[in-house]
Amino acid sequence: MPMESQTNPLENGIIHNENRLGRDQFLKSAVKQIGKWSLKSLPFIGIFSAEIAEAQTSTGLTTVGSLQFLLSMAYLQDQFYSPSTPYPFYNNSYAEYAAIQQIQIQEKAQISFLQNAIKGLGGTPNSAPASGYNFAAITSLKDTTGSYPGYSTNYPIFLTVAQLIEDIVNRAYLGQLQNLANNPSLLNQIAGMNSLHARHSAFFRKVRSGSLYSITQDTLSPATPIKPWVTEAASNAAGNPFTINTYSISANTQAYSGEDQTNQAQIELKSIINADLATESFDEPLSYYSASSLLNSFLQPTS
Amino acid sequence: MFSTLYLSQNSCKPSNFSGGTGSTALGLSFGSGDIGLLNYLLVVEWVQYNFYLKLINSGVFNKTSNTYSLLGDIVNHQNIHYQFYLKTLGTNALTGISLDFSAIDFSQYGTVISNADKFQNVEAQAYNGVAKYFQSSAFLTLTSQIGMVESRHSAYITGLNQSGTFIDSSVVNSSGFENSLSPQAVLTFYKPYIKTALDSTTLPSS
Repeated sequence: MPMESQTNPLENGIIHNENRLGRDQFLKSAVKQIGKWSLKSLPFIGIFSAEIAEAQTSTGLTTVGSLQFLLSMAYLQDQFYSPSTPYPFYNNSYAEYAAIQQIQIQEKAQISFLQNAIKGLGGTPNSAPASGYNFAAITSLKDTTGSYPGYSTNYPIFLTVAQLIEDIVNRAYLGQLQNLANNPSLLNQIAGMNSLHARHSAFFRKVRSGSLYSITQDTLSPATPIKPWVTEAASNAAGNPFTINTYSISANTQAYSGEDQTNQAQIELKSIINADLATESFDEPLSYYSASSLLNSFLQPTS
Repeated sequence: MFSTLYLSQNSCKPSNFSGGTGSTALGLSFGSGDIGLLNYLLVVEWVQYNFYLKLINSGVFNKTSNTYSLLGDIVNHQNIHYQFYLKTLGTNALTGISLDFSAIDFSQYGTVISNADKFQNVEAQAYNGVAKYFQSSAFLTLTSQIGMVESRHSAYITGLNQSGTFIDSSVVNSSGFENSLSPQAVLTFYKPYIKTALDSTTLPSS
């Protein structure tokens, strides 16, 4: 059963109207499929299934609810980029290590900014999940491989996961901007954070393409050249990583689902040049529900 | 294959239409509200698209290189963005703007790339800066969807200008966000290249 209807309201230009019919189905199925996962270990869905009445308005998440979601993603990214034991490829013999250090600093700065923004609006910032994360994307403690085994020692796999997370986060931010529209100053800053994630993604895509660093063993890379922008929606198209394949709630929540959109606001763009270029010209928003279901794959299971 | 595409853009050039939102003593008007903002982004994309047409036809790139191919994507993305705004605005579109890039040296790789870096940084920051003004949340999201692609372009070109980087230090804030430019600041940057008088007094100034 699809978690969301096949028609994405964002694609019809009806941005404010989150798919409310699909939400209950989504939560029920998510809880069923997650099974052994405790709600406490699921900050993305857990936060809002517990506080859904408070966090929802008729048009989507509240401003604070939206910021909590962005903060959850910042915690996840910080843990990914700054693990307690540094990755072996975090050393100056790697040409792009300085840029990765810059990304580490930016993610930490975003945590502080978002915490302060939540406090400034009278909220209490959520904490990072106590059970931690698993960036191999294992599905249970019995799963010894996950989708990305070796990400902490194998540089190409690390780059793949980095790009995948940045692409999801970029799309998730796009899905939240409307919820911040009543606070222009905040919206301005969050739009700039969104942009930084788009840059991070472009950077990792460029590194993976080998134009900065020679990667000959990138088994997760498709044969087609990787571009700094997102082409089409297929998981193996033009550098989109093979997405999480052992923990996907539905095809509708795949990381690049919807990126094949060529019609924007009822204007068909593929005939201007071609469909691939039309899809590259727009990044596509992800709803809170789709983004959090994808990112939950990186939470540490408790059983 | 790209050169064919680049040379076939005559159909995209504006007619002598004098601007869908009229003109004042100062020049062609952007109009107000969301139409003004969309006309502003239409002009941004028009300037950027024509800049990149000059760039891609400059002769400084090896036409079999990955760089040429990716810069070619950027030309085409800018064209698609321009067409999107043109079609969205319909009869309200501000067109008929003449441009002149003769002040820029397109004969050397270094100056071509450093100018591209400047133009693309301005465009990425223009999108960040305009988001907060939209009345329509649909256009807030749609224009930001384009803005993120502009930030991707900028990360790529900054990497060509300064190897191993994805953002220039002048474009990023210590709190972890890319900076913004107001419509007035962006139009000031473009002013040397825009030969048609424009009345931007209806656009936000802060």
